[in-house]
Amino acid sequence: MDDTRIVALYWSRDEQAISETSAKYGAYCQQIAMNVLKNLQDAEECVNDTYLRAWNTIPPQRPTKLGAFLGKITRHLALDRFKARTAAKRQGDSFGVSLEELSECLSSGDFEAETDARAIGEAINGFLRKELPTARKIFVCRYFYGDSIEDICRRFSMTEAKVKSSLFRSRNRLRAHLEKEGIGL
Amino acid sequence: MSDKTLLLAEAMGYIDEKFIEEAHSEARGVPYQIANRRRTFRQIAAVACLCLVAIGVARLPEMVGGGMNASGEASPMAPSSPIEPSSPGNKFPFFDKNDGNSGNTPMPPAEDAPPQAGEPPAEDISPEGVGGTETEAET
Repeated sequence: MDDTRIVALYWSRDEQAISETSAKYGAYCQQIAMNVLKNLQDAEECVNDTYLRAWNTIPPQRPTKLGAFLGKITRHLALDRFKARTAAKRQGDSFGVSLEELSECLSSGDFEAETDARAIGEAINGFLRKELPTARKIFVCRYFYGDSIEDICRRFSMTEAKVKSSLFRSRNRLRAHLEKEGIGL
Repeated sequence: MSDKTLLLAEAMGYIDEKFIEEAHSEARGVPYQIANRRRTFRQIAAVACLCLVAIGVARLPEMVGGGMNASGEASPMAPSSPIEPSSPGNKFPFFDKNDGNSGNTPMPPAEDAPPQAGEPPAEDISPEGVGGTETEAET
């Protein structure tokens, strides 16, 4: 079933929308949650919360890209759960390592969480628009989806050195872009 | 994990959905498979071109027409087309030992033939000439 029909089911408050969403995007959302949480039970709870959040936000929203819409919700919920964990230490997993890599792009400064996250997100959007498609996809796979370097190598048919080099250069460009935007100075 | 790190992780959640969708479609493997097949075709094409170039370089002396044989001596010009045996109507100057009239080059007459080694030169025999031979024959 295509996305427009699923969204129409949400708008008509038909519970079949949830089952169709689960059939089409269940594995996708679970993969995102697993990349962040590394725990199957937590990931499943996260996915169920995603369906509930989608049910509550559609309507009034009418997303054109349902997959990306659900992915964002899942990632946001997984990140909240990740932050709430008592293990605030570095876990050595790929998501934690990817966040540490990304933190190099931002110099130390005083930030207010909600407002600044949105502003930084807009700045990252501006940066991504200027990136070449392959570099942009690798960047998003690593820092949004939390994929490991090995997964990215397999998907893009690249060597590990090439992927790491692409990410390193992207981070350097992002740092320069954020400094130019006046973020993190 | 620092606040800055979590802040950036939060900020990544605000990126445009088209970028998320673009990376997701890549992650599904369809472009990956196509890129893999294209890379394989490119590799095969590159190897085939190298083979053709190598064959061309090896045959270059023959194509130019004046090549060197294996001992390094200049070899005579090779004919561009194979020599065909003589046949009726074929005007190629191919001498057949069984047919003295083949070809355009006429056979020289026997009288004009140059003297063979050891034979005395032919004498000019005429009636007013030296009749020594006739006188001796008459007597």
